[in-house]
Amino acid sequence: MNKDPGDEQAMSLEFSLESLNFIRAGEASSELKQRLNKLGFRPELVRRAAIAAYEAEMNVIIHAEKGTMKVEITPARLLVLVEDEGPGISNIEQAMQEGFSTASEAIRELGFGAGMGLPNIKRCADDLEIQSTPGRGTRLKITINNEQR
Amino acid sequence: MKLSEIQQILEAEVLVAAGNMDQEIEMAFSADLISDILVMCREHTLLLTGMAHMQVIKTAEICDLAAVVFVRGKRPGQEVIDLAEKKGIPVLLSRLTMYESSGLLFSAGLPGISKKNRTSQEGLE
Amino acid sequence: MGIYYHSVRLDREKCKGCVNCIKKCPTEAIRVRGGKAEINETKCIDCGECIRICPNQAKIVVTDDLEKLQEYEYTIALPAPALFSQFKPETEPAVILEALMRIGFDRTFEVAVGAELITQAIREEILLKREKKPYISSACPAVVRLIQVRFPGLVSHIIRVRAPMEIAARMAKEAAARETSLPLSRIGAFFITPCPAKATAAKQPVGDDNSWIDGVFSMNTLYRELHHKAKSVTVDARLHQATGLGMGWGRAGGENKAIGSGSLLSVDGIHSVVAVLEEVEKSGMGEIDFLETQACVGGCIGGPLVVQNPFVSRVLIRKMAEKYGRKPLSIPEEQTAKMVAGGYMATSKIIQPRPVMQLDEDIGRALSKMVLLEKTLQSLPGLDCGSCGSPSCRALAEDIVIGVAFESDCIFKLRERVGILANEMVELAQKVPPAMGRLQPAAREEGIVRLFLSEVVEILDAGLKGDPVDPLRQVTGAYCSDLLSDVMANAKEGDIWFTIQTHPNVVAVASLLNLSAVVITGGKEPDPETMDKAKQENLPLLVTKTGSFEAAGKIYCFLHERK
Repeated sequence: MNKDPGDEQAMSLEFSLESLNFIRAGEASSELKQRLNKLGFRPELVRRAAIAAYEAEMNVIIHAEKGTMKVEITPARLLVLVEDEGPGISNIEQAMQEGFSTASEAIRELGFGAGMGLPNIKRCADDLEIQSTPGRGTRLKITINNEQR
Repeated sequence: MKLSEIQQILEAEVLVAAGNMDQEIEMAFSADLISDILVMCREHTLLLTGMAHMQVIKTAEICDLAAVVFVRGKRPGQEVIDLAEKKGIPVLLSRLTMYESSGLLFSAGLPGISKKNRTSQEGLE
Repeated sequence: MGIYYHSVRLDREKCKGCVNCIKKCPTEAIRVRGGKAEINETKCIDCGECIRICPNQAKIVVTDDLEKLQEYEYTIALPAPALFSQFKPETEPAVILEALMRIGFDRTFEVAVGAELITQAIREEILLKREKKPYISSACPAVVRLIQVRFPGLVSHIIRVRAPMEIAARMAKEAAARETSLPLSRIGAFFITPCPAKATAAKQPVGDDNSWIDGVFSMNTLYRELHHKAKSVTVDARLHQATGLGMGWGRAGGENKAIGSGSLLSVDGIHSVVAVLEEVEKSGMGEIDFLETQACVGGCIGGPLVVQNPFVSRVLIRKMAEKYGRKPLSIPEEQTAKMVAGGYMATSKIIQPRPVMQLDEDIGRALSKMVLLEKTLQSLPGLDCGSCGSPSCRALAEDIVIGVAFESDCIFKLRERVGILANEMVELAQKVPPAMGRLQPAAREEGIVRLFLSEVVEILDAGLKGDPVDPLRQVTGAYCSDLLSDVMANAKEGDIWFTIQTHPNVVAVASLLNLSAVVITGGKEPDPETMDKAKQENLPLLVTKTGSFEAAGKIYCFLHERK
């Protein structure tokens, strides 16, 4: 296999996410997107990553106490790890259905909590792993591959 | 340097001899904060401190310190002396300040604790 | 990548290098180098933000000279809708069109008529819902170029219709060719523009290879003559062909009003447009059918080349749109529908992204550069002051990484370097052998034991934190303690103080007692607040890896040898 010296290059970013801080909501995804654009990833990939990260970020802000978003970037793939100390998801299968939401009325009034979050992340990701313990928190591992390099 | 020499240099009063005034002291350090002592300390070391309470002796025991010098004439209570005696830790009392005591001992050839002679896990970076 | 034409240029004579423009530019295309602004040709989108902010009028817009009319046998004026809102309310559109003829044009064709045709094309396109929602308007070329440069992922959202001025130019020229039997090459179409963005688009359109427009005149240069001529003309109302539908396009919201139905959103002002496009990138905004986006606040009436106050124009244009709103369209809908079906309105090329913001063509190398960028950024002050000539600390870090700037371009980094150098010089001076006359101040000769701060630094191999302070500051004694109350009670003025404490109260106590310096021992680093406070109090803060015992010992030895 031809080894591209660029493959060894990696970069990681970390953002802390605060519960119900709608003023700063989306900042982490914005920063991620700007960096991916700067790195020269394809627009389509950047867009998918930004949307997946934004949905995951909003999930933490709406549902959890606090959380972190870690991103590992290599030329071949993006790995977005979002961990929170929230209520957890009791039925992941149900949560993956479009329209299913446990968000409060107040949150819905802000235009969130339409039950599109997880399905939308799955649509954008090449691979999505969800680990969740009710009462403890949720961990999302979003993988986006950079195929057409 | 023997502890008895240190006592002479500092013109210190021996509060607790613990029968161990001839022991060899390899190095010294000066500190007032227990947390700092816990980080810095190692065996055969002399502690110079301006604190004169029970915690200092307990810390000295935990760290296997060789001896303790209370500086600037800070005389400890009887319970501190009793504890030191019980634990076998020599305690001296000097009227000099911490700066003067440190200076005199260092100029007499007693090295300070430094990164080189500190134990490995005690990274203080 | 071809060379980009730009209508926004710099007047180097007038530019004072004041850095106002670099911070306003939505694509960070401007740097100040050698006291003058430099516009990066690949990043500039000709939006004209820098023209508005420049206090020295050093940003200029290049348009054509009226003499260019002589190059054609037959000439057509294409006034933008905004032109009609530049005059007094009682000035009829037909009067302005007649005044244009008096200036020397053979014929006029309102761009608003083009807008009416485009409106119908957009309506049909929205109904088809072929591509990703929301559609983004292609009317403002500054926004189109902004998307190419800064939002490459959104280019597919730009609606594939031509600009109204292109449709107007083509229709007018084709009609003129039929009427005069002249070849198209002898007919010149000239756009009267409110902004540099459209001036550029007329020379270099985004969605087509060539423009139907042959020249561009700026609204403000024609204004005086038009205003003068408008006083004496007789009106032929038939000249005025556009209806309120197309005329309304001159203001923000006018395009959406013309489209009429659907979920439409209008946003104006380039920085607001950026905010909304960021939102589209993040959350998609798929509930919106069409986004009207205008680089200028207020829409085209807020362009950098208009004369009238845009708030006044807005009222005028709205009244005109109402007044002419019920007039029948000059081109019947069935005819427009045929033109739409025949592809008359569609751009010939798919708009491509222009990802000029990326660090390197190779993602691996770009990653290395970004790691370096983040590291460089950490060392910069984060004030985004712009004094280095780059718009922000992040932009400077990027410029350093791609090799077009240096860390010392930052005045704070430079000051730090100068401080270190100054200290090194003093230290070197101290190292001159005594035979050659080492500094021997009078006080020392008199037998009073003194020590200089620079000597303390040397003895303890210490680092001096914060601003450079007087290295010849005198030290008269020393005190060693970690207990603040003890120091308060026992330390003397002029002492240096050895401690492992790092919090700001150390500085408060030291300056209260007039201590000469604080030496933080054991390799501890002072808290940032402590450093700030030390700077405020002008108190030297030294840091040494040596422990308190040894530090005190070394200084003691030094002082007592001297004795």
